[in-house]
Amino acid sequence: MPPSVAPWWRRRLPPPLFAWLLVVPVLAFFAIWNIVPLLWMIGLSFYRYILTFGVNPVYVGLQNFSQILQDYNVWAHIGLTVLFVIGAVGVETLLGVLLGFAFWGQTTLPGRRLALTLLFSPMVLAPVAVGTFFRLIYDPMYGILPYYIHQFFGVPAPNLLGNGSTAFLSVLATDVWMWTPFMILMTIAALGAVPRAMLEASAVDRLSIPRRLRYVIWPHAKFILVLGVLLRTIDAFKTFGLVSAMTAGGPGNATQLISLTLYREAFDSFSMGSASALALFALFIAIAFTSIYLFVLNYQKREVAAE
Amino acid sequence: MRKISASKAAVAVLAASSLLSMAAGVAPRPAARQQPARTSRPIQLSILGIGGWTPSELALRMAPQFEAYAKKQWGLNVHVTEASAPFTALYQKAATSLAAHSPQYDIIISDSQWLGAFATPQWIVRLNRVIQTTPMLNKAEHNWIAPIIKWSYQTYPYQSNNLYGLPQEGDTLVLYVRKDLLDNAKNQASFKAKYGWPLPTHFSQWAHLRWSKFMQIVAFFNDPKKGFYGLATEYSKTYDFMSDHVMSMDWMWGGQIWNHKTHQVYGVLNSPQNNAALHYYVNLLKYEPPGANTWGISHDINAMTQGKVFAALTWSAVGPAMFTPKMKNKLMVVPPPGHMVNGHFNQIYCIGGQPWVINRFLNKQQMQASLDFLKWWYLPRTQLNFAKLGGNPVLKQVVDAPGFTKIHPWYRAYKYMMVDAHQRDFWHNPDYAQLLAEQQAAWTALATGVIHSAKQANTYTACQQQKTLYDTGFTNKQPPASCRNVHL
Repeated sequence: MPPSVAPWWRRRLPPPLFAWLLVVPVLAFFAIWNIVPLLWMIGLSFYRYILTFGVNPVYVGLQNFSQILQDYNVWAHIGLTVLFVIGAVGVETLLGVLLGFAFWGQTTLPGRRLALTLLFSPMVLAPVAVGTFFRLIYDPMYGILPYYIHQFFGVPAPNLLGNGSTAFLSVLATDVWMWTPFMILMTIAALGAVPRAMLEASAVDRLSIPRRLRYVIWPHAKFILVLGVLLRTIDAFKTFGLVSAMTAGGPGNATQLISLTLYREAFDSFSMGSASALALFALFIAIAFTSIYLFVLNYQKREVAAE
Repeated sequence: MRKISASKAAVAVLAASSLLSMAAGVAPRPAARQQPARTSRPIQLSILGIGGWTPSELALRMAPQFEAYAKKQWGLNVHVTEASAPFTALYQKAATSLAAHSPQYDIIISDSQWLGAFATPQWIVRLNRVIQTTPMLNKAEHNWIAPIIKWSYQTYPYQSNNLYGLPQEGDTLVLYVRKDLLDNAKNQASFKAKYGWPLPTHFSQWAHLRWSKFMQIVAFFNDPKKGFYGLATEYSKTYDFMSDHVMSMDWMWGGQIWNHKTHQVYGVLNSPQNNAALHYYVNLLKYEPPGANTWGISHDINAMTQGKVFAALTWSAVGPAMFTPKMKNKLMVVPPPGHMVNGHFNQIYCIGGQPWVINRFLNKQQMQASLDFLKWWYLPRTQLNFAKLGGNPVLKQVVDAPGFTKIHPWYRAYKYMMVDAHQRDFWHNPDYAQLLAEQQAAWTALATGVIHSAKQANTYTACQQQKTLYDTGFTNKQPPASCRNVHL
């Protein structure tokens, strides 16, 4: 085979420079669309600037942050968001893992592909569309769910989204419906990472199921699985379209997640300074969540290293 | 304090807001349109309106008439294009475009409460001189059906002489009632036997009906066992759906929502009258269908057209949707009830309808085309065509013309209600969105049982709104210290 001949300009360029040239477009894109707006947002968080007031931005130092810290409503909405994240990701992970195991290895199951396709379809739908459909499904007068609850249990059709005590759980259930498939997918991927030879060896050694899970499956599957949990956590923390379409944060503030508060501050009130501060605050919380997962994930590794 | 220029900051902040928009789902704005030369080349006139709202859509449906008129009258080759967003998203769509100083939309159908938010940063044209120097607009300006048209749809500050909008359509809350049930002899006899007074069957009887009497009618027809209910109103947290109704009740019960000169809310909104009004309004739910505590306009229309309620208190603008073939002979549109306070019959409702405003960032040609469109809109002939299609005109010449009330069944109530004595508008302030969100959260919390006291809902709202107005410099009075302990 004749040796490949690089073009003249390629031969003249030192390899590191060529590598940089390949990376520069991506870096430039990242800088323009991510870094610059992020820096602007950070800068803006120190200003008082309301677009609809037509007044120049005024530097106010940490005032926006201090107002956030003292605002009862912001803390209430963050608390609700954390509850939503824990509830949604917890249930989705549990169901996802159980269903993932059910599908694992069932390669000869009739209709497996169709079942998986149908199972995964909710997560590819637009959250606003899902929210709108479920709002109709939950409607106590026209919705199918309250109708069947009434038919089967003989109780009045429940007003799931119009009741302060059930609205949150109803929205949570919709999120679970939508995102459990993602955790199934991650579980199947995670289980696929377990070497078949080790599984066969554990079967030959007649290792009990819990021990097989702990010593054979978990060490190989944990990274992908925790990555799934991490991605879902970050995503659940940003939940907006679903809740906006279903309840607009209501009734009252029963489903007012922090993303809705942020949206209202930025695009209803156009208070860009305080919205930027709140966005930054939310970003720190998301980073904190991520750090906890990474800490847990690497805990065992650090222990081994310490020994 | 350090300052940076507003225009630079506006551009920069919109770049920064792309990050925020990840959470918000706001689409990036298209680039500014090229400015066409004012020659025989076609002029594109873009109108941003309310999606799914008949009067707004009618303006677009009538656009070909304007195109023909402009060609004949001025030799202009104008093509009107449409953009729309639902009520809930229109403000964001318009404001983000205007904040970027974009000429994307020439004319924007606004809501009267947005005038302050659009006028303060000078995103829209102040129309005083334009109206003065344009005879066709000047004529219209002196020919509105009532002064409330000017105050509500045109002015910022509210009731000042600074004109920023022109009325696209007028609107008022009216009562759609089941005429067939009222006319039923058996119902009439049973009602009289039960309450000792006859069911009102004529417009004039309804025009002076009190809420207390109306509730007897509602209770009479309310029959949940048969899946039929007395009333449909609005309690949705979306946009201002519940607020319009609650504020109407406040005014009728003798309360105020704020002092619009001093911007004092605390002590005004949470008055005993307003607490009683809110309590009364939420108590109407016991005569409304299940789930009505989150209902908006479309739910009212569905309930009425599907024959599930006796009455619906909603906008005159939804008349075309209410009068379906199935319902057209069963409905009557009447003025909504009033309330007696100190011997005075208060029948005051929150004004509906929308103004339209002109984008300030247009070139001369686009600006002229926009004005041409508005001149055409206020021609009596155009207004009459608008009325025939189901829109609510605002010209006295058209509304007072013989036969106007016969055009559509809701026009009699519309005409009756569109006078200053029956209409009031709320804040036109630049921070209206925040004020609205605060009261919507509190009042919907009460309607859905999250909280159980009208006093708590109004006190929370007053505290939050006072703080908002204090923070934005509209008042120097902070909310009292007791507000720290008031939560939903």
